[in-house]
Amino acid sequence: MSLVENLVYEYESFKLEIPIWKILDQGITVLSGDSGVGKTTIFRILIGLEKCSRLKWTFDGIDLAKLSVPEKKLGVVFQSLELFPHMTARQNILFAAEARKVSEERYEKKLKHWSETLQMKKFLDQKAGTLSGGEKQRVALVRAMISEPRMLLLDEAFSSLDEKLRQESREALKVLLKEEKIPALLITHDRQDIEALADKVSVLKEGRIVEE
Amino acid sequence: MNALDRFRAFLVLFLLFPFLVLIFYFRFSFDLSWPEFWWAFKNSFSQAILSAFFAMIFGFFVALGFFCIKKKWLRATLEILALLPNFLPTLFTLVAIFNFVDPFPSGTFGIVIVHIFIYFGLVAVLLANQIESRLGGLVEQAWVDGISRFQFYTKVFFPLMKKDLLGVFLFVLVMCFSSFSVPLVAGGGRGTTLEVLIYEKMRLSTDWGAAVFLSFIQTLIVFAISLLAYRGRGQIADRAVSFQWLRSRAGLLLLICLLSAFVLGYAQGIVDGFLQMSFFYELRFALFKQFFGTIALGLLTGLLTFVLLFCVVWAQPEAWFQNFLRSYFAPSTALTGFAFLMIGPNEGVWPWLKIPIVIVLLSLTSLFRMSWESSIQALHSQRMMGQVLGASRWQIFRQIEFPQLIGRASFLAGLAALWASGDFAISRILAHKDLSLAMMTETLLSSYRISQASILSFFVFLVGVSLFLFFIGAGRVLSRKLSL
Repeated sequence: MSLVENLVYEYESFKLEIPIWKILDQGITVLSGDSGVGKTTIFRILIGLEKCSRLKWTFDGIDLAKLSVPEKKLGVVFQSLELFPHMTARQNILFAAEARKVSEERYEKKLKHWSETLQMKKFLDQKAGTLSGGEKQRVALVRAMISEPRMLLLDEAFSSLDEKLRQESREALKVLLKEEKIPALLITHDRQDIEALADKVSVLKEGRIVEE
Repeated sequence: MNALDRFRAFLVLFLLFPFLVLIFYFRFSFDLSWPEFWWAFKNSFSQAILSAFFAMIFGFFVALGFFCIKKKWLRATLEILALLPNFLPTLFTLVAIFNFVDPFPSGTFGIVIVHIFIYFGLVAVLLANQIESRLGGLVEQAWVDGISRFQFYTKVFFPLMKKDLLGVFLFVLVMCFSSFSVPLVAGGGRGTTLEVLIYEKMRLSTDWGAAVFLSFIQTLIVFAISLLAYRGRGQIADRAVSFQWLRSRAGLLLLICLLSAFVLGYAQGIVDGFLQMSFFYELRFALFKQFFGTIALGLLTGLLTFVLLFCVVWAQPEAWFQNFLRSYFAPSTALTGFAFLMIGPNEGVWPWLKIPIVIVLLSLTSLFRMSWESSIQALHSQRMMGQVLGASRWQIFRQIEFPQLIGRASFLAGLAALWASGDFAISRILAHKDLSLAMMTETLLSSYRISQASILSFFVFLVGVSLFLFFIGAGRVLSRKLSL
């Protein structure tokens, strides 16, 4: 179990106050709640993109809150996916591998395996900007996972897809997480995401975790 | 202070260099008579107010003229044409107007005419875009409700647009107030502005104290007006609709007339110039040298701009640095030129190095505001993603920023090269003899040999456009190589 403590954040009239919150270190924890309650803010605080001075996030005995953004070694999939549009799908994944200094051999092996498992071969050498929503989704997932992160964080990662592609993406996520044995935190307000993926659900309401 | 902070500090010091010189050389005792100061101040202010006012009037009608055009490509083409006098070096506008308005009324009136030609198109494009974004569906609503145009303008348009109109007016006012090359050529003895007086104080009487004092006053005024312009911005609406109710065919006709005057004036000069080609035979060796001089200045300026634009990218993201670039404005053109004249030798290769540096220093923040800032901002989320993925600053720069910004950077470098090829004002301060075709053109223009100046400026145009295309082409080649 990883433990988030003292997550306190204020911005104008908006306030988050989470004294303690447990995130699974195996399987998928879902953070749910209505639009505008601060789910994405929590996501950004955990990654380190927003400052939260008193935050403590213990994971495997390490306080991740004290580490810089790259040092946290998290795999991240934003709602907008943020693929680099001038690069091909392969180059996007290679970028992450180079950043985390994954050996070439290991990168090749993983890419080969996942491109077969997730049926990515036909578009690996296409520019990211030209890919369909579902293809982009798979590239973003593999890019986040290629460097064997401590944890995978996903913010409404399926929200821009139609129902069929959502279902495919959920399956892809399940496959990846099962194979890599990496815990994940999924931010979503979609009931079907929760039903299909969640091992634990935390509900955010009025700046607090009200239900677990 | 880490290496990146030191790098930012270096860039800031580079941009602040003319101000530092200004402080270093400031003396309380100098030889400046108040009547002389008031005369120049009055000229600066009156020409700036009149130029901005008429550019606004002309620009407003042309903006309404744009709404007559339904085809997007035609509208874009007309907008580009209207912007040309603003984007091309001042030299071309001067040559065109000297041909068209004959005899040319030197002095405040002459300066105002040139400024109107330079700024009306910019005002029109800015206003047309602001009207579309600010008024949106209100225009259709007013049309459907059947209110008169007068009512619309008095009750809807001006109350909603007043801050935008004021903002554009003040922007043009600042540009005209600190204009140097136009008053230098079109002002004559009767239109001496503060900027020209600074030049004369340095060039003719080497009175640095007076020049610095004048520059200080001018900088203060420009700063004050810029603050007002900044406060003049309002809120932006998010709906764009049909604006045919506001369209003005007279506005479109005005645009065509102004552009025709520009093009025909220029063409007439070139035709006359071709008839006097024998004049250039005696100057062939000088022309040959200055042709290469123009290329050298343009290339160096473009390269330096390219490098500095990427230095700015490397120094990102840092809020204070970005705010500095946003709010920074270079001091007087003349003072910046003289600041560089004061340091180091001014013979041999030095003017060739100093002129590009000064042009880049004076144009860098304009280029930053024009489109570089938004280009950098557009990559913000990708930069963040790279950081989250664990990429180093170098990897983010090399693989994300550089490949995606190279096209825009080469465009802006090309633009700077085009400006440099047409520069005569800064070159005149830093070089004791004609180094480029533009300087030679200005010499001819000042002695009222308009036809010869026209034909020479045409060569400047060809060189400038070639340099512009060279940078764009080089950017494309580099971009293609990087994507392989």
